[in-house]
Amino acid sequence: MKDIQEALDRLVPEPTRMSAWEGVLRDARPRRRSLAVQLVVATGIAALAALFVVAPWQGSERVGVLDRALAAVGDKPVLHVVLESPRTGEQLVDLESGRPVVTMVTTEVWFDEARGLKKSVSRVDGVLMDEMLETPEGGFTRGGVIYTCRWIAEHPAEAAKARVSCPGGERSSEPQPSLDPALANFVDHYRTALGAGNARRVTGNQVDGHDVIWIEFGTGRTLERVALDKSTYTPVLISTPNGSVRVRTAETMPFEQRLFSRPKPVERPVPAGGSVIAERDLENMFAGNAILSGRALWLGPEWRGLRLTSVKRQELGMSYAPRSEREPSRTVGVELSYSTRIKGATTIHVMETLSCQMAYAWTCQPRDPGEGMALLRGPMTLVRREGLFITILALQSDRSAALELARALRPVSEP
Amino acid sequence: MRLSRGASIIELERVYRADFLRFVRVATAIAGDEESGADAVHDAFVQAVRKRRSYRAEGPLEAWVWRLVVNAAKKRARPKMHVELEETPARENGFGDPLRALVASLPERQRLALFLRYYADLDYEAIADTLGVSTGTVGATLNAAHTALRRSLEEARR
Repeated sequence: MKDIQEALDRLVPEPTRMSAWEGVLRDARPRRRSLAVQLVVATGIAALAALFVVAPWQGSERVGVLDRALAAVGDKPVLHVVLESPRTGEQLVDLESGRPVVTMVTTEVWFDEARGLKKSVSRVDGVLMDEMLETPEGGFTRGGVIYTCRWIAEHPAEAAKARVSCPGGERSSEPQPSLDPALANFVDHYRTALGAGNARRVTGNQVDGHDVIWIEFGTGRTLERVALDKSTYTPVLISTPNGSVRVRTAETMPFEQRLFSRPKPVERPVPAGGSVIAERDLENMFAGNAILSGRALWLGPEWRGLRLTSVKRQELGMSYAPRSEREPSRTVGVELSYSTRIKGATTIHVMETLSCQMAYAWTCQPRDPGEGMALLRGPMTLVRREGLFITILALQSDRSAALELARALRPVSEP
Repeated sequence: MRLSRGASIIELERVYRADFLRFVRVATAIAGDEESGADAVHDAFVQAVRKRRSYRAEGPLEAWVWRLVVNAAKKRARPKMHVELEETPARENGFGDPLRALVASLPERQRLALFLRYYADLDYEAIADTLGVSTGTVGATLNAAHTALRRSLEEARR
């Protein structure tokens, strides 16, 4: 066979030139119909004519801004965006000083529209929180595959092993979007809007004393306002209904498979849910202290007119994602209730455990407060003290009162 | 009920990047020149991306793509290939263009099997998947092609 191999090698030498995959994807897109092309051209000419007739100076500037904004981002296949915003909805506070600690949420996204790939990574103060990969075949998080009806239908054996099914129909288990809708809108449509000339220049203020150019695109609920640096034309701020988000990076880069790698699995199973399974009254706080290995904290028998009305032993359960193959866990906690004994009057609940429990509103992830810190989340205050995980529920208390309450907790043995 | 699995763009891209040069070489052999071969591979993958949902996973994805490449290359094959080859003077090495002419004159299945075997290094099973024939047929087809080619090479050396 060697002679045939050599002969055929001479006949067609090995090619050496690669062609770009992007060309295949570009040509695989649906072709526009000639009528549509004609319509677009006609519309474009009409729009240009209107610009020059109505406001020629505005028209030329508008075209320049969008072109430069698009050029500033680049034209490579992968859009890479780093967004930064303060954590909202909850406030981390230093328990001793009461000083708020500003925590920044950083969201990094790689988006390849042609391949239908999006990878997003969220960090709070640099600590990895969430990671998600969205592909045409489905989504993946650090917990593994995101179970959807489609995935379940295509992987019956694995679905059965993971004990997941799709009884509620196609929409019941679709993956939740990884990004805030306003941010997703920016990532998905910014370049398209610039390229198609669908963005508009609008008036707006400076950002941190720097001159910017404001543009907006979309309509109605998808309306997005973006501030561009006046000298570089790169986006610096996105104005969303939920507040402003800094754009730290907005660039394009060549496609690399590693950019869209699946999220690394978490080392320990992440709890999926928790609940109070059973409870019973204890005789007094000393019994509660014994349950918590002598480390319980309380406000004393009375605190600012509120009396300790009940001490309960609670059995707490925590479950894990089916794919983790970890059995649900159980532990005990103690709940103290302070009240005036008058119906509808102020009541404070203090819940304590020796381990992180979702039943007491802890997420058991890095976003939970560390030792000496308090996290204020609505009427709830989460505190780490003396190794205890403490949750204070005070419906009628404001922030300062909640912090005062958290500081007032003391060991049961102390007078 | 059997589900239509479909192929993903990522899977297709993996096949493209892994085997592009082999695709082009086979397509070049079928189409007649490298430019047409590269165009044929491009056409085949454009078609693969567009039709990816129709891939039913009844055989390897590679075989499905190979079929598209072979068909695209056949479409781009120069219709006057045989005539042009005959008009080209033979090279001094003794088996340049006579071999090309002989290969071109082989029955289509023999040619395709030969190209897939030697240019793509596919095994009999993969060739069978691509050509839609049995593994035994691939063996017999290649054997016939070898015999014809070897005879031609021996004659060229005399």
